[in-house]
Amino acid sequence: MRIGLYNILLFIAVVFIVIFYFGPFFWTILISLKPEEEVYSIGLPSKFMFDRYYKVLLSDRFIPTFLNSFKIAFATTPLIVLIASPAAYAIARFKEFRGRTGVFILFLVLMLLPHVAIAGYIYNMLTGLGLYDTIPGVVLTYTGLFTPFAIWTLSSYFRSVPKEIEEAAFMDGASRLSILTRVILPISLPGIAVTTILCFILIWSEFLVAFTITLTYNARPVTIGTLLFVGLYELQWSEVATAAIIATIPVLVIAFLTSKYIIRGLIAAVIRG
Amino acid sequence: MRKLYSILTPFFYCLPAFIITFFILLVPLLNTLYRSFLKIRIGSTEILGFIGLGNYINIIDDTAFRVSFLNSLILGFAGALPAVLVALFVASVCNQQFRGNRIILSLIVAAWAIPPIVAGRVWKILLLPNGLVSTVGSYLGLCQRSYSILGDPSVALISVIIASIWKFSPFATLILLGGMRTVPPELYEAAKIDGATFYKTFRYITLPLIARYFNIAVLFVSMYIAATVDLVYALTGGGPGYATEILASYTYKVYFLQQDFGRGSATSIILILWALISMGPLIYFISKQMFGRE
Amino acid sequence: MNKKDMEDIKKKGLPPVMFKKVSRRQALGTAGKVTIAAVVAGVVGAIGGYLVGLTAAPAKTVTETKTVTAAAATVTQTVTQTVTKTVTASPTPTTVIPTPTVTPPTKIKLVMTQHPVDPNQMYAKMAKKYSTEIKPYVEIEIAWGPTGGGAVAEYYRIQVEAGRARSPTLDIFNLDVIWGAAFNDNDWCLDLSDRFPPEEQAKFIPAMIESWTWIDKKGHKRIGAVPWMADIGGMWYRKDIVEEKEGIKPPANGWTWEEFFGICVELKEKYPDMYPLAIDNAKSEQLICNFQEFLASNGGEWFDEEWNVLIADTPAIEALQAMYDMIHKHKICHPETLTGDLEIARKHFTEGRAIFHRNWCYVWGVALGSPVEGKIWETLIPHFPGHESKSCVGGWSWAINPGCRYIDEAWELIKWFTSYDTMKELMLGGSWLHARIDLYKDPDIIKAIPIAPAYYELYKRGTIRPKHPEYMTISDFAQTELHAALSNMKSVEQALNDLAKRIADFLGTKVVKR
Repeated sequence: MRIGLYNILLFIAVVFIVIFYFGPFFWTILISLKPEEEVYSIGLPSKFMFDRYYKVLLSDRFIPTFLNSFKIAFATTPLIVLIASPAAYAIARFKEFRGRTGVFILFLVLMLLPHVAIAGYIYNMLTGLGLYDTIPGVVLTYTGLFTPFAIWTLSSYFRSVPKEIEEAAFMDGASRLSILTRVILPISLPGIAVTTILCFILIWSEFLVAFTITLTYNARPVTIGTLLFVGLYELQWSEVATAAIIATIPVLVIAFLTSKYIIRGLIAAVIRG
Repeated sequence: MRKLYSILTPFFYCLPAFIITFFILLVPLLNTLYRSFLKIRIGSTEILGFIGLGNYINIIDDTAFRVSFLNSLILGFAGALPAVLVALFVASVCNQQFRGNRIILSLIVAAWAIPPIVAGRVWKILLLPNGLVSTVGSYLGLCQRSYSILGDPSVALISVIIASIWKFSPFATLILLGGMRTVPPELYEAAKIDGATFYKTFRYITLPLIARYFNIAVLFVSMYIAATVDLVYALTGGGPGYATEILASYTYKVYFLQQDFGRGSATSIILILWALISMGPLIYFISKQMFGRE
Repeated sequence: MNKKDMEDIKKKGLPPVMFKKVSRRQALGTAGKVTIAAVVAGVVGAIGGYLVGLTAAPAKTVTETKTVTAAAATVTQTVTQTVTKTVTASPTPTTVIPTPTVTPPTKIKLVMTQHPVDPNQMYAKMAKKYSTEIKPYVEIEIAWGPTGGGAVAEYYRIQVEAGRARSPTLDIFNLDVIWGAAFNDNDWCLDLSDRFPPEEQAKFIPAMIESWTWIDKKGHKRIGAVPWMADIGGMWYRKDIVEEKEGIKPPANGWTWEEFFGICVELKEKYPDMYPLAIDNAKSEQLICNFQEFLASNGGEWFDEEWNVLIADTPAIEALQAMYDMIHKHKICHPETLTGDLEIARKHFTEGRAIFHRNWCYVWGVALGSPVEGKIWETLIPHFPGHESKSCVGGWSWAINPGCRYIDEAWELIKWFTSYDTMKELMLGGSWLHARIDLYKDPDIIKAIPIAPAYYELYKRGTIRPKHPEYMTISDFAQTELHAALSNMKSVEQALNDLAKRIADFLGTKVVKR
């Protein structure tokens, strides 16, 4: 009997989740298929304009920004994990790290800086360095913006690696570095997966800072690319919606792929306390 | 030498992180602080003079600012906490073993990944008079079909809160889910053998073990809700009047629309201070949790 | 790593082969880390120093340019330009022989910004024509600007920075009329009075010339840009319903607001499934344009000669009250009037759901191929009794960056683009409307765009939004307060009082009530 109730409740919960989260997403898809005049109406499309997806994909306004986003995200995310892992490990596990709490709080504070407050000066800085509107400039900026966040998340996951494993390896004479690479990282793979995908999504959906530090197709990412579908005189929201859906697909794919690691998790391997 | 090495090593580990964040975050922060005390010509970076607290006084005088401050507080409490609770709910659902839980997770993440401007616009379309939400509401007898949800100051704020929850809880869901996955399954098995119900398992096993992640999730979500301009802007533009203005969108307005970098810097500093102060307690809790047990 | 592996590790420890490598690596690692740290510290220090140096630099360039221009005032204008260019190299101006800035056929490149909306790519075609037929040695590069709302502000800032820094990366600016005062007052664009004399100016739309005319800090009158793309607000309406079915003919001088509202209320009863008036009053720049029309049609002003604020005075109160009544008392607006945007209002009209529609000129082009094609016309914006109908002017103009490398060539390009023939070709090709008044009396134009005479009537009655260098801020204050009043958050008088006080405090002037 209990099992039946559980299944029913689970089903209802899933339905709610799907409606709430997927609703606006579904609506976006609907808008992308409607004729432009019906964008604001609440009915189903009178005709389904699937060819709009071809049109948007082939449009020369969108694909360059899409590629830019790819370049930026795939360059920045590994860079962030690379920079953040040692720092996170140092904060999480180095007992002899005297200023540990201070550094921790420092990174936390830096992470909390609202981007809108510092975007303006970053523009000045990049212009001064000649990196305005270039992909390296964007990669540099994003790395700086999201590394504290990655350090944070990772240090938390690193701390949940049980100390015995570490101590065992330590006693066998391994150096800190090799403990990091051979023991900690593989064990906290779900944590790293979560951090990777979070960073990827944050980078992929960043708009404000991207807007300030880019100007042309050299470096404009896809968040801005979706807004370039100006028709004769106005923004064509049906095309914008199409572009937005297309822009979401890479994230969907990556989320699905890494969800395996998140869900599988640290099964069975860890004994605590 | 050995001792020096062991003290310095952690700093070396943090060095790349230090460098990049110093460059991108700390220097702009200090520069913004500096510029907040100056009068700067509108539209450019030309400095006109030092006016001390003049910018700050000008801003605090503005009703729109005071309302945006209040709204940020409201959004922080009424938005961040429910967002994380919703995330907790969702994460525990995804934590269950059932077919398709990966698909659900991907869907939720996809919802999050839609560029915020487009998401805001879609929500706006749904919330327009004669739009989907008001039509459904009229069927349920809650309001007229042509009711302007976004035109009513208090209701507009509620819709901003709901849209924010929608946008930011996936973030928390992922964090919480990752945390849930660090709970060793033996504990669940043992509980099941002992005959514990789902509720008891959740309350006594899952919750305590993911408490750390819960705090982090709340922190992150509050920070993102406070800092996100795009969603509010696309949804209401800060309107009606200034009813849905939050500190972040107010900063954006002064900095990017009015192009007043002096006052904009002052607003930025206030925003940063507010963020730090409001999250201070949480920061304290988290660092205690982080380092307290050792 | 699975359960078994973990147990193995615990039992056996890590494989011994790892450790031999590690100890050697450890030593190397430390040395490496120290070196890297030193190098990085050096780099950071260098960059930091460079940045500090940077913030000082642009200011210097600006002051130098100014002194030279003043000193060389007696020399002819073309020479001044050349001298300006070389100021950074040799600060002492001696007698300079006027030399042409460019001797053809050396290839040069001009970079110009463009509003990203280019209907029928006419603009791109004309730019290409210039490069191929007119002046083959000039290569034109178009830097596009973003579109919509806050993006336009970014566009503004980029051009301001280029002008302020005299940066040679952008030669020709494309600027909105509301930026005229800022660019002129701060000398972010070149003074064109020597090249663009009043006789020529008179051929363009007066209100646009007005926006770009300015008396600078030395009391010298200057004009900063040449009007190019013109836009003006008018009252569109369904000719088939208003004139043919109901027999109501718009008067030659426009209705009064009272009459207009009365007509709308009547039509609302007769056509219950249509909105009498689709007008966008959402919180945006458009709201200010609407307000400007109400205000000016009541003889109201924003400022007096000393920049004292007049916006809390009776004409303004009546104007805003009329807007408020339009929405809440007569209820003749479309439901999304306060929360939607211009596009939503426009869609109501061009899809046949609205009878009247206040909008810019592009409606005509959009209506082609829509259900209302051939059924619409445009008339004057209504006015208050005893005053004239006024239409808010928008539009974009060409200006030259003072740091432009090839000023004469840039001027030639602008002159060609704003010539009668080029503008006519653009308009006939389906591009935007352009700023020479005579175009609207040209028979070819009237044949292609039958509504041109209506535009002409509107252009005669143009009004501009406040011409102040800090208009962006004033507009933002106004948007907030006006929208708050229209959304029932404040009374009309309260909102205008607050707005006036805010502007006065910001500018350091007073609120005046006549």
